Amino acid sequence: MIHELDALRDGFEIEADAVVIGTGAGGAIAAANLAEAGMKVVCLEAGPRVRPEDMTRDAPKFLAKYFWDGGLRLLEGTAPIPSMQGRCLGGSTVSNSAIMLKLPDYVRQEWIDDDGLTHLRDEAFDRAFERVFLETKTAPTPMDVQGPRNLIIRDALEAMGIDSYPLPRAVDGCKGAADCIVGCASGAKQSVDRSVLPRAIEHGAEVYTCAHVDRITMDGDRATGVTGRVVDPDGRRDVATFTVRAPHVVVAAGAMGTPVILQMSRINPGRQVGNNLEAHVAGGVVGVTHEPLHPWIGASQGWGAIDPNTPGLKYESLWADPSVMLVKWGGVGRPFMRRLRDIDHATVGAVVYRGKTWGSVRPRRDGSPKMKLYIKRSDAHVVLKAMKLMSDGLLRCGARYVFPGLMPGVVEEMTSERDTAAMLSPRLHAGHLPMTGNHVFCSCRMTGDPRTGAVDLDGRVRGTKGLWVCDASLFPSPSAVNPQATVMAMSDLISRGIGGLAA
Amino acid sequence: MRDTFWTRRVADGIGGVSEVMFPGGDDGAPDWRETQMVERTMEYLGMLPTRMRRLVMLMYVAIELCAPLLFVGLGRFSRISFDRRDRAMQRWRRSPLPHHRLLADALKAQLCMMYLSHPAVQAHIGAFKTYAAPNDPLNLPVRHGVLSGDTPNGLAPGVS
Repeated sequence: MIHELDALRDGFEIEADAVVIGTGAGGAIAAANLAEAGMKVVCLEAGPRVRPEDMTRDAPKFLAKYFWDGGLRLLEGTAPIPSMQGRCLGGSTVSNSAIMLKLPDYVRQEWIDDDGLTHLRDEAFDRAFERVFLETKTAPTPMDVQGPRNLIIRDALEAMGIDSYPLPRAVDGCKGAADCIVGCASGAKQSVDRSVLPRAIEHGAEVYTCAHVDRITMDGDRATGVTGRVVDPDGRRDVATFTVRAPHVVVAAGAMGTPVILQMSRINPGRQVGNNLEAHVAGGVVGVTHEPLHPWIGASQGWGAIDPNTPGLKYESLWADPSVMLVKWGGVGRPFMRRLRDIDHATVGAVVYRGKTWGSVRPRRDGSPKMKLYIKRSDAHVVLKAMKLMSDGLLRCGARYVFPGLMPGVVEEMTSERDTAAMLSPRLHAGHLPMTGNHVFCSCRMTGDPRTGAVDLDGRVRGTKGLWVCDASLFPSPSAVNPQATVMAMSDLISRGIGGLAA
Repeated sequence: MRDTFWTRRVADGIGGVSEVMFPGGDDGAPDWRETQMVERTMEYLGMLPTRMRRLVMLMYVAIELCAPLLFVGLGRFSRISFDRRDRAMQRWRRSPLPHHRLLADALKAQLCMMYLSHPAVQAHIGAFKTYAAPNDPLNLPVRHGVLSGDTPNGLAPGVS
């Protein structure tokens, strides 16, 4: 059963076998497995439930209501970097593009060899991926919903000699409306509120929305439950408090939320919680063609490629509502107004890179996370070089011009490979990247060595009993691909271990 | 949102920036008044969580009241001539000073988001969708069957 705000205005106090904090990719899987294992499970989600009729195409309003910090969350550090994290039933899976890629073999090997995640050698990890792909109906994006905006990215990559393919996504019956960021009102996207949580509920899990967890309660080194506040999503006012008592506590509040909850609860083994925050370094270019591309149709992210020469470098097509997508594009004032009609001819080529970033997550006084992220200049240059490649590909495919974001020494409308070469200037640095830091991880690393990670190989927070982590904060280093499938697979392994289910 | 000295300055700041960012012209694009930038942005601010709302409001108050410190001109930002404000916005975007660039980026991002989410702007840029969503305040036209997997450009035959 799903409990919503109106039923929770007086607060609640309940007991369960297990409490799961967060209903995103990691939390939903954990809740479903624990419930299937016969436990009485309570799931707590800070945000509200989003029904199709709540999925407004007015993007600012959707962001304000269903994203952490109203969609205005920033990573500080090298430069202010926007980071969009869903705050609703289903977490970020409601608003992401549902890309589901298996952890690349070389990253898995690195996690085994360098970080001591020896259990990932086992085929159980492969089976976990198979289960999540099946449950989320993951399949390559069909050609009949690619549309010209995705296909020109295919052509641009081909022009540059890079093999590309339709991205596999957790979508069943995509309508090609590029609405992913504001939810998928058609019901096609298999966000975990649609694909996984129903299994949890079917096995008796109770889901509480608008329930923001502040602290984990402890008795010595044993977790005994959580306390928090019922929060009205309109205006984010606190309306009541709640307590859940349970001997099994699973934290899956994401790479920003999980370390804050642990630190607020004074749980910080080896002082590793909140350290080591990492993110994929990202960038992108807007290509404008002669022929209309009608970017508002076609799958949001239908096409992509792995760079064959640079490990950890990935290209992908990208679109969201223009009000979110084009906030840096086109200048200001009259030049911007003149360029508005170009949007019908626009496509976006995005670049994601597994660089070596470093940062931290600390709780502010009000309990919200304060994130810092630092990016090396050399990693920024890898992304800039990839942006040049994408730009050159688009120009070779007949783009009228390519907009790279504002960079000193680089023209706003690049029309030749001579123009794009300016992106290779050594003067440029990470602060110049048109980057969004949505793929964040590593803030409660799982490692074999207690000195380098807060979480052990079972997903248990070191030095505690009855407390596990099941989200991207576990990753010992960036995944090189979109993290959703890996989060779900790791959560599957951990929660099966807790519940005693076969992995 | 309550009508106070500060909320009036926020509204002035939003208006002052919107006017130069989305001016009227002969290109047919709806301007800042037609898209009710001030009213809609104030409504949006009211939906934000408190900390973010205060931060964004502070930005507009700072713009409105600190124009001399930002080398725009004397007096309140919204009362300075259009040309001076326009030049200031263009200058900030390419300024070597990080806080100028940050301010310009934040203003551009926040107000562009509001501008581009107005139905008249979506109509102007020609946006449409492949199915009717149950909640579409933008009133986007729907063109069924416009996509195809059998053509080189992914559009159904006859669709331009």
